Order: sequence, then structure tokens, then C-alpha cells
Amino acid sequence: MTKVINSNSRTQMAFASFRRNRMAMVCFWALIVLYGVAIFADFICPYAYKDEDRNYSYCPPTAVEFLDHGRWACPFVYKHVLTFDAIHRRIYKIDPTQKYPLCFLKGGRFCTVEAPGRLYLWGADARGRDLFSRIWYGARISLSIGLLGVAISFILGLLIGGIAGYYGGWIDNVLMHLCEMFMMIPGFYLMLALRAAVPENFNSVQVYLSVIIILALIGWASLARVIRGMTLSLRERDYVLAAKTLGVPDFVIIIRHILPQTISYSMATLMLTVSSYILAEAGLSVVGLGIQDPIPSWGNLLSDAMEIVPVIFAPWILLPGLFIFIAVMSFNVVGDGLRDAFDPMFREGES
Amino acid sequence: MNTLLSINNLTVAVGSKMLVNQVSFDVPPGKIVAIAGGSGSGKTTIGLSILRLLSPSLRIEQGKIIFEGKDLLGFSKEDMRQCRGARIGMIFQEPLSAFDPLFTIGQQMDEVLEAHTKLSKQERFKKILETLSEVELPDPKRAYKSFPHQLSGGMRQRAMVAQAIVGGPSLVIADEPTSSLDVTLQVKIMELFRRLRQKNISILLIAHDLGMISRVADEIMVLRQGEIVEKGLTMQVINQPRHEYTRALLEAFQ
Amino acid sequence: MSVLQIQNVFKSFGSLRAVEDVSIILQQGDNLAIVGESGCGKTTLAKMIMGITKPDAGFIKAEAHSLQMVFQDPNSSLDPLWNVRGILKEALWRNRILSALELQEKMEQMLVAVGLSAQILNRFPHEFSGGERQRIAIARALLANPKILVLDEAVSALDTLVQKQIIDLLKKLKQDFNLTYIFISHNLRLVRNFSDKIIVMYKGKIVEQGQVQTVLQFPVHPYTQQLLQAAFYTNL
Repeated sequence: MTKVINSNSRTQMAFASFRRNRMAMVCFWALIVLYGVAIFADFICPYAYKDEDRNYSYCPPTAVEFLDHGRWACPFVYKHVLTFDAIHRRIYKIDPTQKYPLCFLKGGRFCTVEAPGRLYLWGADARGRDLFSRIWYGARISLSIGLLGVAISFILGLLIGGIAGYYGGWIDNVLMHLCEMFMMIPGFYLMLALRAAVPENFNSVQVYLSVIIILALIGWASLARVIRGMTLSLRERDYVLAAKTLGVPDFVIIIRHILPQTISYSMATLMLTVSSYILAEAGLSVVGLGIQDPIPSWGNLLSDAMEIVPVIFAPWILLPGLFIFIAVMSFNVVGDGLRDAFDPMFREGES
Repeated sequence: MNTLLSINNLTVAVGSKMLVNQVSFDVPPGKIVAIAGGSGSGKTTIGLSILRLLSPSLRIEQGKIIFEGKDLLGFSKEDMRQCRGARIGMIFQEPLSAFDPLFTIGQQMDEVLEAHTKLSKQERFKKILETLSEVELPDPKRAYKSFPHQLSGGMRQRAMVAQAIVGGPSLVIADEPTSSLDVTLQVKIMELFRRLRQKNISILLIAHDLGMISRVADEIMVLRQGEIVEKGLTMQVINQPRHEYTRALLEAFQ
Repeated sequence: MSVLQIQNVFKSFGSLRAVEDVSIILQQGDNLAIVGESGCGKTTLAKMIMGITKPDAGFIKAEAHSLQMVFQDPNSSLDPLWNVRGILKEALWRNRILSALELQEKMEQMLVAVGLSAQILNRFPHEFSGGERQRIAIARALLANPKILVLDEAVSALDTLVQKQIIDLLKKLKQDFNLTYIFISHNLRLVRNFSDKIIVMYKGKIVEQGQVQTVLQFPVHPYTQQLLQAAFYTNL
């Protein structure tokens, strides 16, 4: 009588469909790598984000050598000496007499070199700080701000959208007008205005939290509208009516019947919102209004790259831009993949 | 010509599952032939196969579809396009999704005539009004100017019949044409089909309501899980059913 | 003993008079059919009986929590994200104090009573056919211990063979659970084989009522005659 299939909920079927999407899976793993390295930055990065050495200002990436005069040796780095050429440009010459071997698992870090040697996998910035380390410490800020901001937007959007859609009437009117007020103001300007309202003397942690709240406030409204629209049609479904006749209270119906349906469709919107928050934070930080030096974020790392001279001679300081690109692209592709996976029309093998 | 449409050993599969299995039947000119089956029986697939409108994941494994002496399975895309609307018309179950909500009925029917005939604009207008009154729409001029959502369910279905026959086809495939309608309207559409038959248009009626089918169809085929279990003249199938599935269906109607 | 009393009920939506002056008295054990086509007001009436909509005038009296409903569309009457266990447990919302073991027993018993296996509790609606889903919906309705079951076109979306199976099931359940039925349908053939009393509605008003056999054999109102003609437009 009953077809014998694996007993899968619709969510499981959707995730199976997502796993078949190669592009989305690649981006998903890219995000896992990004977040993973960011979490373990203390271990993976050779230096703390503040660690500077002015002798190595704008030093290019130091190659890790494996051959010492043609013979295999433990990996090491040559000493780099700063010299100036005829027109006062910085040139780093390699001094082959000084070798600094890589030390592994020392001081809680995977790999470093003994002072005064420096290991710059991706080059150094103006103050001789390792860009590799700063990028990954910066990842912590940039990636977490996106997630936390979206979490708050999501909760706000769900609650407000769900309540507005379910009850309708004047509640719906008031809440939707509130949404419209937020959506009317262009996001970037709203962000700047809110940032201006944050007191000058906030310390870095407070600034961090303020940025998160600001992002959450610019993004919740469009999510709320989408959820309200979905709720309007969902509340007419027969199973909602059935729950009402069975005496289930409204709030329980909203949480257990209506919101779960909206979550699967809003997950895609969420991913796209994260990527827009990452860009927004980068935008704020590039103009100096976001996270402040010395704490790195991809945005404020890029503010170093705003002058043409350093960019020409030390192009590696543009690398944070690549990471922003990878993160934003990956979130977008994963978001699209999730939307396709949950959309019944896209799933294959369904009659 | 003896037979208008002749299906031989049609087999359609999706993946490893057979939706239609070795189905063969004929539709003579000017007759109503019905395919009776429940959901999952493959009846809609047969209709879509004839018009070559199957979704890409379905394959026609074997068979011949001979219409007016030619095998439709050998037709090119362009030939099929010319065939649809002009030689074979189709009526769907849900008229709301079959009509484009942004265009009036008249505009959509005009599209059919423009694509398939060389009539002038005035001649097309006249023909459309004629067809609209043939399907007994009370005010053809008003129907011409109406959008699909402005018509009631029954009128929309009639408009859909009109769109299917305006190109002058010799065969109309009707897939559950009345399931979304009230009973009294169902009767009217069935009477409409009878009138079409009198004008020598054949109808391939695909439905699950055996009771309704028995009143208008000349021949009935009972389809179950992709296979024909019984086939013959209506009176014979109804009064002397041979297969137990047919008998079960008939019993369910008493 | 009357289990449901509908007295002079009116309901309008703007200028549309959906239900006009309807009065019905339902006795325990009745199997009442309400027939009519779309727009006759039977859906609005069903919603008022269930308490989902309030009448503009008149009143509806029934014992509290004695009514349950089975809906027309098997695709939307069960929450697709919930499994059968969750769906049935919801029916016992008013009896939440039962222990987990008692709940399990009740649910399994009811599944068997509606002709399904007790093993399906962990499955999801999309794994079942339309007829099976309706059985689950009936099980859900019955778990709430109703006296009256409102069947709103409950078999209209099913195939003919499956329709017969569900009608037979409903007949059996009526006896087993001592139920009263309100069977809303536009299909007079089904009504003839199922219900004892009938009410015919047209444009919001009751135009004919009585015993099924009488009304179907000797219809008085022209609309009833039209319905009959259409329903038995067959050579069978």
C-alpha cells in the first residue's frame, strides 16, 4: 500500500538536492575553510595581529626555501634587508648568509621563525605586520559580524513578519508601515547616520557590537516583508485551520506550523543578507567608520590600499579584497543553491 | 481515411519507470474516444505524447503515432508547431493556468489564427466571434474583449474549447476538461463535445469520471498503471466488462 | 437528541449574501448531506459551524469541542514538515496530560481503525497517496473525540475507486464511534449511497430538504432537479 521509500522529511530531501549541486557544495566548503581558519587563527597564523617590525615595512612575501645550496634542508627563510634605490623606492635584498629555520608548534602557533627573522607568507603592511595573520584575524571580525547581524535581523524579521501576517488588520498595518520607514532610507546612508550616533569614546568591543546592531537594523525590514507575505498565504492552509479547531493557541501555531515553512525559504535570503552585511562592514571600515586599527577587519585592511603608491609597489595589500570577494560569492552561491533546493519545481525526480 | 489517429505500442518511460506500456488504440474520424483511468494511470502522458509536449525527463521508448497518415514521432519541431492548434487542439483541466492572464481571450485566439492561417484581421475577428458563439458563450463580443479572470469558471472552459477548435483541427485532446467545474456545467461541456462530434471533429477524452464518459463516448479504454486493461465500444465495456479492474470501477459508481 | 442547532443564520461578505436565513437541527446519529454547487454558501456555512467564522445574525449551538472537520484537499490538510506522529499528537492537544505510552497507544489504535498500519508514525505526508492522507486526516479528527464530523468535500479530490473505499470506511467508523456526520458534497451519487438526510442549497438559501431517498426520487425545487439530472448524466 505505502510506497517503500526512505522516510525523509522535506528538509532532508532538500539538503540531498543541495548536495547534488556541485557549485554550491564547492562554495559551501570554501566557507567552511574560511570560518575554520578564522576560528583557529591563533594556531594557524605565525603572528598576532598587532605584531609589527618596522624594519620590514612593505616587505614582499618571503619565500620558504627547501633547498640549501642544492641540498634538502628543513624549511627556512632568508633574511631580507631593506635598501633604497636611486629614487628612494624600497627594495628588499635577500641576504643568503642569514637563515632562519621555521619552528613548528612553538608558542601555541603552528609555524613561526625565530626573531629577528620574519615569515611573511603574503607580504607585510606599512608597519611590518604580517598580512597573512592580519587577514585571518580580520576574517574573525568580518565573518562574525555578518553572521551575528543576520541572526538579529532574522529574529526581528521572523517575529515582526510572522505576527503581522498572521493577525492582519491594524497590527499588520502598523508593522508594515514601520518596515516601510526602514526600507525607505537608502541602506548606506542609514548606516552612516546610525554610526554617527555611536559615541566617540566607545572601545573596540563596543564599536563591534554597535556595527552589528546597525547592520541588523538596516536589513530586517525586507526580510520581515517577505515573511509576512508568506505568512498571509500560509495561515489559510487547511492544516492551520485544523490546528485551530483542535484548540491549539495562535502563538503555538505561528511558531510550529507557519515559521518553519518560512525558514526554509528565508534561508536563501539569509545567505544573501550575510554577504551584503560583509560588504557593508567592509564599506564602513574602509572609510574608517567601522572597526578601528589595530584590530584588523578585511575592510580596514583595504583602507591601507586606498593610495596608489603602496598598491603599485606592494600589491599584496589588495589581498583582503580577494577574500571579501570569495566570501561574498560563496554566500551568494550557497544562497542560490538553497533556494533551488527548497523550490519544489527545481527538484529532479519528482513526478 | 479510416482512422484519424492510430497509436501503436506506445511506451513512455521516466528513468527506469514505465509510465505508458505498449498502448495501442485508434481514434476514428468524428468519434469521441475516452481514456478512463485514475491518477498515475498514465492517461495524461498519452495526451502529451501525441502533442510531443512531454517534459524532457520523459522518453518515448518505442511506438508510432500515426495522425492523418503521418507518423508524428518523425515530425520536426517546426512541423509539430504547425500541427498543434491547426490540426490537433488541446483542452486542459485548469483553464486559469492555460490562458495567459495578461491577454484577452480574443487576443489569444487571434494568436492561434495568425500563426496558422493567412486570414486578414477582419476575417480572423469574424471567425473568432463565430467560434465563440458556437461554444454557446452568451455574448461573444464581450467574451472577445474579456480577460480570463473576468469570466466565470464555466465560461472560461468554453473559451478554452473555442481556442482549441478555432484553428479548425480534426482532433481535440481534452484532458480532464470538466473536473474543476460544477456538475451542471460539466453536462453543458459534454453536450458541447457532442456538437463538435457532429461537425466531424474527433475528441480524445481523458478523464476519470466513468459515469460522465459513458454518456458521451463512443469507445472507452480503461487504463491502469500505464496499460490498457479493457477496450471497446462504450455499451459493451459498461454492460459486459471483462477485466476485474473495470468491474471494480463500475461498482464504485453504484 | 439534538447535537447541533443552527438558527436563522446570516452571513454576508460586502454585498455578497453568502448565507441567508439557514436553520438546521442535527440529531445524534444523523448523516446529513449538504449539497450545492460553488457559490451556494456551503463552505461558508461549514466554517461557521466549526466556529472559524462568526455569523452576522442568528446563532449556532453545539456542545463545546464536539465538532471536528475533514478537509477536501489531502495535499494541504496535513503539514508537510510534520511526521504522522506529530500530526496525530496535535489532535490530542486538549488531552496533553496523557503519558507518552498512552498517547502512543491511542495513535496506533486510531491508525488501525482507519485502515492504516500502526508503523507509519515516523513517516511524512508526501510518502502517502491521496486516499491514505485522507485516512490520516480522519484519524486526526477522530482522536479529538468529536461527536460530529464535518466532511467538507472530503472525497472529492480522490479517484473513484478510492472514493468508494473512504466512504465505506466512514460508514464503518460512524458505527464504531457513534458519530454524527455532516457530509458536504456536490456529488449526488455519493450522497445517495451514503447519507440519510439531505439539504440542498442554492445562492445562500436552503431550497429543499428532507430524506435522501425522497428528495432524490421526487425533487420539488427546479435546482434540485437540475442537480439530479447532471449527477445522473450517465449511461451506467
